[in-house]
Amino acid sequence: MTVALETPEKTGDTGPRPPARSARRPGRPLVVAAVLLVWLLLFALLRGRHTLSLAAADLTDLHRWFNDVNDSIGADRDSNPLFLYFFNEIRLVIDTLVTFVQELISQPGAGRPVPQIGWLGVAGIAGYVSWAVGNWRVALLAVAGFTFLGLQGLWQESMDTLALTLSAVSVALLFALPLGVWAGLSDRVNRIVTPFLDFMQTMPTFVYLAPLTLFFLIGPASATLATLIYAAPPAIRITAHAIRSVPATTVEAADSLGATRRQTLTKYCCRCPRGPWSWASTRPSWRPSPW
Amino acid sequence: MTTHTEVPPQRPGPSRDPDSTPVVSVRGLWKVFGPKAERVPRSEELRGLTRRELMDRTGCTAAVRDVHFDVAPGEVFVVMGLSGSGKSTLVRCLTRLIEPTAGEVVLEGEDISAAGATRLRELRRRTFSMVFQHFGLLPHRRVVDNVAFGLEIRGMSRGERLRRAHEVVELVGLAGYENAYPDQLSGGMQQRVGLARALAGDPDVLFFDEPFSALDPLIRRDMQSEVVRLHREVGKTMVFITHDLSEALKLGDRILIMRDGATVQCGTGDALVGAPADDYVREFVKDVPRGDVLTLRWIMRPPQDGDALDGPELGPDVVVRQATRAVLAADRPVKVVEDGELLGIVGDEEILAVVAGRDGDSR
Repeated sequence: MTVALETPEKTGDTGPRPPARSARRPGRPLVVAAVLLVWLLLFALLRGRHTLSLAAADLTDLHRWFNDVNDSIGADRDSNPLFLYFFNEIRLVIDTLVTFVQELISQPGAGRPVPQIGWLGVAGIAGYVSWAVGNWRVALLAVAGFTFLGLQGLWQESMDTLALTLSAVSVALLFALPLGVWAGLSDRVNRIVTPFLDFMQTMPTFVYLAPLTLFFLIGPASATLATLIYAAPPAIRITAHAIRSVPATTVEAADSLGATRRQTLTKYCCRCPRGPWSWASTRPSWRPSPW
Repeated sequence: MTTHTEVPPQRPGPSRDPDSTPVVSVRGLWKVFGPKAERVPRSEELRGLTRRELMDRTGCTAAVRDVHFDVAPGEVFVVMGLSGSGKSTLVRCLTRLIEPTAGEVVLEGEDISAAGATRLRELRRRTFSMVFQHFGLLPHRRVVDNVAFGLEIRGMSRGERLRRAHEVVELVGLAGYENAYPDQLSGGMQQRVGLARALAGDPDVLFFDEPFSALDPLIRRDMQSEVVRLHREVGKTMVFITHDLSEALKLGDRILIMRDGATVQCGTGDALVGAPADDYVREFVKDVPRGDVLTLRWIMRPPQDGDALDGPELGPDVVVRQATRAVLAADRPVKVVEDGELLGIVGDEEILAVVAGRDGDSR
């Protein structure tokens, strides 16, 4: 297709190539040397400070500083506009969402002694959805799984977890899908987003659970956000990958027919029988779909 | 190159009126890839460099260099060249899928390089459409929905566009496969879908970018005949890109041969074979069975004293192969006559020179 981009036929005399950005980028030994240097420098400066072992009850300046931060945040929680209009709002919305889902499947609420959907309902819905999206074997597995949870006497706890996960995933998708589409369309966004996604996926949830409780208190909001951080990266990646795996020739054909960018995106890239995730998931199907 | 060359007898070309306004008119078209590409067409010095020199001097690749041509209404215009000759880039410049660096492309009197985004979309939706080498079909849509896609984009109602899609599917010979998915079809059938999609919007001009290169030879021949048939039926102006000379000769009213982005020769098939512009073209057309392409006009000689001038008459555009029996059967030279005027005569010797090669001519 892009015949024009091929290098010219004769490659006998390889003339001096225009120096690409490899010239600007420092070499690997240089980077290693720099890291070593910084490391030694920090060692020299910080030697004997904040690096010695502490007794359990000892407090250093750092501890005190953290305590101060904690105290000031606690004091500001109901007065600082940042909290009033940002963190507390987020907490409120997420708490409401989680409570709603919990009342649906796990906690009694709204004047009822039991949740809206009992164990039979949950297992039934899970079975039906699995059958509709997958097949009867998946459905059987789902129903068996839920029944097992109940028989173990863990129904309440399982449903609380499920409520939390459902909320986290739905909130995650709210952000992940648009972000994924954006990352799929723009190389630059993709490059920027990738290291963050790597970080989000590799860090254990507890690492950001602590700071989250600082801002959102201990409760469903913090738990949901921590789960969300873990749930969002795959959704973003898969969406971006799906957009990227649309063949260039197909997009070009859409262009040549006079499709706008929006039309190309909605009609070409997002119109799959089973929604965006199935594009990239390795779905065994009768049709070897390139999506 | 192509070893099997199969050329049908010359089709009667479209009635080309030299005065009629061309549908597509290309003037001084350049496409340069690379840093600060605009300076290349502007600078007299850089224009003259070869591709290699240009690459070394500026880091730019000139894919299309100063190409001019006109396509008459109803004509099939073939652009031919080997890979890397810039032909695919050229056809994309015509629809601005690739932005030309310099020059103008006038489509039905309108300079499309000046068209804004909205106008360009409008043109793509209504005035021209394109068939691609790799089809570019939507795998998750049925054949009719693929065909109707261009109409859907225009905002045509569902019932109307499906009706139109069914018509076109019928036209390209895919009746019965309306509800199949593209990957259930063979390559040739998929390209028929691509063809139908291009035809569905009833454009004035069709662009083909090596549409049959990905198909096997037998299917390719079918599809070529299909294009000839469609051209006869719908009479669209076509610009056809190919690297296959036999395809070019079979389909093209006129052929433009490109090399390294520049025009080498532009003319009818028999002109390319009869009067190649340079060694490159000569090498290209070497394996073509000349008798299938050349017409009597190319082999006749002026009558000399002693020639009997009472032989049978033939037109100058009769292909040599068709004239062979008539000439060999007659005991006198055949007169080549156009509008009652004697242009020249053709004897056994001229025919044999084409059909069997000249003495000592090691073709």
